[in-house]
Amino acid sequence: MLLTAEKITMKFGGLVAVDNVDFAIDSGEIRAIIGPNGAGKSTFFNAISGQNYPTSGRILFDGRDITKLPSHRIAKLGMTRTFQNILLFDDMTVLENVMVGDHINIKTNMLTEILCLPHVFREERRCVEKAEEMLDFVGLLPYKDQRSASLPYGKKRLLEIARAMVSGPKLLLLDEPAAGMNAAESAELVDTIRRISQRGVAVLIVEHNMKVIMNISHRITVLEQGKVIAEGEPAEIQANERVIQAYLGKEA
Amino acid sequence: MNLFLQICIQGLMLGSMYAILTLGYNIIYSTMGMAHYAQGDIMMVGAFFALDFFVTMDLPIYVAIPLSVICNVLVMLVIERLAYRPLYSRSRTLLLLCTIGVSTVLRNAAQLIWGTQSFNFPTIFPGDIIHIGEVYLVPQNLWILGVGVVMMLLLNLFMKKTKVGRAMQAVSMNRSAAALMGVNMQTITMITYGMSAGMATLAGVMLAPIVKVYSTMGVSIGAKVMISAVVGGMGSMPGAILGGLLVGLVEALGGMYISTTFKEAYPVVLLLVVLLNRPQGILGRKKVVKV
Repeated sequence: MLLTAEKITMKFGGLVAVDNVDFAIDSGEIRAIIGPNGAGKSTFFNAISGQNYPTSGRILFDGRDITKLPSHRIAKLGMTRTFQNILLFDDMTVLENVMVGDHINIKTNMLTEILCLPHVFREERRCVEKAEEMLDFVGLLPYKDQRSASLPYGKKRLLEIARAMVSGPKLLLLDEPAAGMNAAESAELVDTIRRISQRGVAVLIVEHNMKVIMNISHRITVLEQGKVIAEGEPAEIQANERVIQAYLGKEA
Repeated sequence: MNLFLQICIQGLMLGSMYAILTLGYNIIYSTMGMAHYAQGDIMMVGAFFALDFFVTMDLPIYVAIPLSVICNVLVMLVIERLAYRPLYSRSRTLLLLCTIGVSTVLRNAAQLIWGTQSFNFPTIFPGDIIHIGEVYLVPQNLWILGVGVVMMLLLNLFMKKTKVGRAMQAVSMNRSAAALMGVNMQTITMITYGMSAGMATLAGVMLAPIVKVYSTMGVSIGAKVMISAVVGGMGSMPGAILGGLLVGLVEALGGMYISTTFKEAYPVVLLLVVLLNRPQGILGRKKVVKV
């Protein structure tokens, strides 16, 4: 297992947002987490990527305990993410955004940069090439010199994915990647996610767009009120009584 | 006309040092989100270090300057560790008050260590006065202007073309996204303060032969730095340069054509004029609050 979360509980004051959740994801897998609003999906996501620490429980990533690690250390271990509300570096160009994503792989530091050692220039060139290759991968290469704030919404989402992918992660977390996308854009997104998975990267998605979810996920985990109520392949989930109840409410 | 040109060059020379100081002030403002009130006093400490190394110990200038930069950066990092770091998670107002406190402590510490009198700082770059037409140029001033321009260019390159510079920009635009890209916030914080103190030291050394070295030299220069930052636009790098140069020019021209008695007041007048017409600063961007 690439990532294992054991008995994760997150409390905010008296509110239990995530309640004793066990969860595991294998390398190369595309896994979706779904659930009605307020089910604790994003909270769970934040716990895994180190934005909030769980109240109790343990998270293992690639055999290491990452429960209490700060986000920048988790990124170094090979887990990156995108955000529901798109967090780009607005005043940078598209290319520069992706280059920041490769931060952990650039082997220079303040001292070598000040001394202008030859490997600083080599690393910089390598970083540019890698970033351009990744932009090509998501289809944003023609936009590389634009300010990222000027991109249309759907392209910003793709840019976030490119930025998260450039460092070569083992696990990519996508927080509602299809939110606000039109049909053509989400089709493009589905294609991109498939190609990411083909590179051997595990993808964990929180998403409301059922068409996207049923289309790409290998397995689906359903949360309701902080608890896992079902887990299985898309077809099983679609037929699951409890899931239907959770989404549509009980029949009177 | 010649006099006017001469005064302009004088103003730009002063202004380029204000610009360097303001750049240091602005990188702290944009990456840490705090106004560093003690910037002028950090410069003063740097100038005193240079005085010790260059005058008292009689070291050659190319040894004295790097040594004072290193010492001053260390002082800054100790201050960051002891005074600022415990307050990052608290309100920004507390942090601002803390920097005012640090400024007072530095000034008084300098008086204890070096005394209250002002010290002459010898010319760093001697040489004959250069005549171009009827404009007289002092080599020292040309050097200062040159150092200022080179530093601005280098800083710009550093911010755009290196990993650390890009990370600093990333932090200033979005802290949590930067952390998730693997940027270590603590390292960036220390680099930010270190760079700012290093630049302040250089500016201090350059200004020392002109303004002399004394424990309260940071007060009036620190005020001009903050005026430059606001005039140019808080947090903006081109704004810092423009603001610094403008403040230098206004100060020199006002001193020449009106009276040197009010030398300290002209930058404030500039500040008022800019604030009345463009509250976000000349190159500053209006804050758009998204709901």
